[in-house]
Amino acid sequence: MKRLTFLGLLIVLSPSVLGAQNSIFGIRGIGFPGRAGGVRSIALGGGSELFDRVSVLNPAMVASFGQVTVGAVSGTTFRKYTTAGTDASGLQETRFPLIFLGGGFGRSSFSYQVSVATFAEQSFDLETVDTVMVGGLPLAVEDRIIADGGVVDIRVAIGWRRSAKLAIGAAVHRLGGSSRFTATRTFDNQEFQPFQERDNLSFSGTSFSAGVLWLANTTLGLGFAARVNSSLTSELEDESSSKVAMPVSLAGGLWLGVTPRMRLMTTVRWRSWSRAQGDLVGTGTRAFDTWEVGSGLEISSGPGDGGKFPLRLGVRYAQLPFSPSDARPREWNFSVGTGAPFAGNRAVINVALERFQRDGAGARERGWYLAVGFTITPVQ
Amino acid sequence: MQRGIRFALLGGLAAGAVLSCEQSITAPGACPEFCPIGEIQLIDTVLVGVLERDTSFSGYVEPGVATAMQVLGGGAAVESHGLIWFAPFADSAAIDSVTLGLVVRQDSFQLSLVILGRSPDVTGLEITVHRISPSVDREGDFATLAPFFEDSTIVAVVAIPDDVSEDTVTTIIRIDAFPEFEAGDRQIALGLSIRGGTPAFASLNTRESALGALLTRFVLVEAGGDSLERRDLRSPEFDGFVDTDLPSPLAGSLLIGGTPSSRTFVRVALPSFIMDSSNIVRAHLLLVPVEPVLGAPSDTFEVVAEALGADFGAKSPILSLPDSLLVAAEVGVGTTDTVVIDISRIVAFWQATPDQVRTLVLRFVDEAVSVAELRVGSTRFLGSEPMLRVTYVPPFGFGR
Repeated sequence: MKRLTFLGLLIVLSPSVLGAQNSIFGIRGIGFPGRAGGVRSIALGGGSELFDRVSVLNPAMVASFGQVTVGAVSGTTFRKYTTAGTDASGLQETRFPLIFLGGGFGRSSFSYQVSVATFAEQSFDLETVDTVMVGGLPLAVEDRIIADGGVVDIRVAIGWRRSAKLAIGAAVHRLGGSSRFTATRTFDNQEFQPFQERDNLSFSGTSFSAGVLWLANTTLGLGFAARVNSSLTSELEDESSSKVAMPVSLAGGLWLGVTPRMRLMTTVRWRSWSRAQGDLVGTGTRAFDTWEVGSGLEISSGPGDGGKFPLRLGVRYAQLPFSPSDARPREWNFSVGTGAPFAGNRAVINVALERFQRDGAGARERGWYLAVGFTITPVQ
Repeated sequence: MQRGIRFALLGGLAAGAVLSCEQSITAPGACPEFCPIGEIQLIDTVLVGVLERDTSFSGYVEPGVATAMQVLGGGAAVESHGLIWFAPFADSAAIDSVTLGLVVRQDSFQLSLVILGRSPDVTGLEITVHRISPSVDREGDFATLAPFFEDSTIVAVVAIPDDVSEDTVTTIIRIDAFPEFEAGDRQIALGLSIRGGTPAFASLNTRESALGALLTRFVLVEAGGDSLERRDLRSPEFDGFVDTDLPSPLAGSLLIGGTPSSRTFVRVALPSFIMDSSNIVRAHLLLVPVEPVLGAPSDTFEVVAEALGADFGAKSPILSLPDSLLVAAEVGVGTTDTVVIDISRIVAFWQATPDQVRTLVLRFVDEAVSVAELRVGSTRFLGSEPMLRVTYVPPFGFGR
């Protein structure tokens, strides 16, 4: 028991990199949007994002927390991309896109959850070589621009179980985080000293979200969530700052118990990312509103939400918000996963493997995403 | 069993995911489409008027304490004579490390000179060795010492082989070349000159370099009834050179080098948007000679710019920086080409230490070792004023 508690705290308090999947489509704008769900949701193509208590999309799901529970998600991305004249492969990064602590307020029907999730990931390390003219003479240079960090979403949510069929919830979000930027230029001539500039970009903003979960019966459930964000303020170390409008988000979903051992879940989400366009003028970045549709099928070995080693399959289509051209990038995800309780059902481990395909604006990105999540309930 | 395999598989995946924290995101940029906003700009510009309050001071290093001497003659516009005062001999000489023996006979002297450099395009170069009265004032100038460089004072001629540019050359001098040696205090003073119809020079090490000239006296000493042949060595107790006066500099010139050596001080006042806000990746100080560089034909020397630790005039202390921060520029005698001195590392040091005084001192790397002198335009010399060429990167700003 103590070991489990320690493990949970270790995960929750880990200072490791918090972030989500990385992508060539995350270099522009504020980065690559993070996923709202946990590992189960990833395995189900995001279809369960409104029905998964680990997910930070629907505050109503917080109502399902009774005892103190901690959890974390670790995800490793393996990817490659191709653009006109540029190929990159063997890219790999590991992030911890979600950590949370949830529980109930005694015997009341209220529950809480505090979570830190990735809102947008913007880590990249780009190298370019070029020849510039200095004093009429060609000079070979090698540039490297590095960004490491992203926008994190710190959420405090309250959920209320109105009845066995209805739960509602609300949350306050604080957007934070930072990105460390480094720009370097080295010269193919020792007369020139290498150039390096570092800066730290800090993010801040506030959001509110609300959600509802309605279970009509044991075979049908509906979920809805909405979120309103303030502008995201980015501030450099010299205190110069800029603002980018963040989207309104609306999501709706369907939970269908096909059989006692088979569930089908779908979540549809719309985000008004185009609000950022006005703040991105002059950057050569286009911002689009996006639709995301994800569906997943879960087949468990026994009745209920999981049991041991359920089979989870998912497919997801998502439009991506930022592009260097008028072409809107898109993403397809195909996923599989499973999970199992252990330690007397006090802990659950979930695993998901996702194949992603991203295309648009002349770029093509392919890769795998391996996610592992732990949920630990220290006391039962 | 099947459950065990499943647990193992699940655990393996989990462990693999957690442990595979290696990050590898370095990739070629697909610019400009998939690169961050903005680009690293490189601006190269020549700034006039950013150097101010420039001035020259002389008298830093005298030839008598320099690490080398230059002998220049053969009809050159400027001539110089080398001077060596060897430590006095005694009436005895060492038999071994502890025993002295009375000198009963002196056979000859051997003079060894260490050549550092020479006219590269002159063949048959010879250094003429003259006898100088040891009692003559060593601080005398070229004119006052000129009588000691007449033909009558020649005691030897040292030939420098055409293929030798750095080596030791020797010559034997008869003992009777110094008729007053025994009667005097047994001290030998020599003068060195280059004669002939072709301007030429030779540079020699001095005592300050620890590899100066040597004078060996071959003697017969008597000890315990035996007579032994011995070599009795003397190093210089003074050496240096005297030269003819250089032409007067033009008004508004800055002087660097010469004898005694001159140094030039330049205050740098770069615009704050470059000095404080940009990254300077290269900085070159451009000095325009206002007349052909003076000195021995075909000779070269190195000029260096150093940062001052404090600026209070001629005796300002030079900041002690690692040698790696200093870049010298080689200059050839006779040239009028702009002298380019790389001060990139000094400027980078200034950027890192904003409170540091931004004054440069320009000097020869080896001061007072030759007659060479660089005369460049000052800020008052329109058209030839010193300039600064800087290549800098404005703040990147990361697209914000």
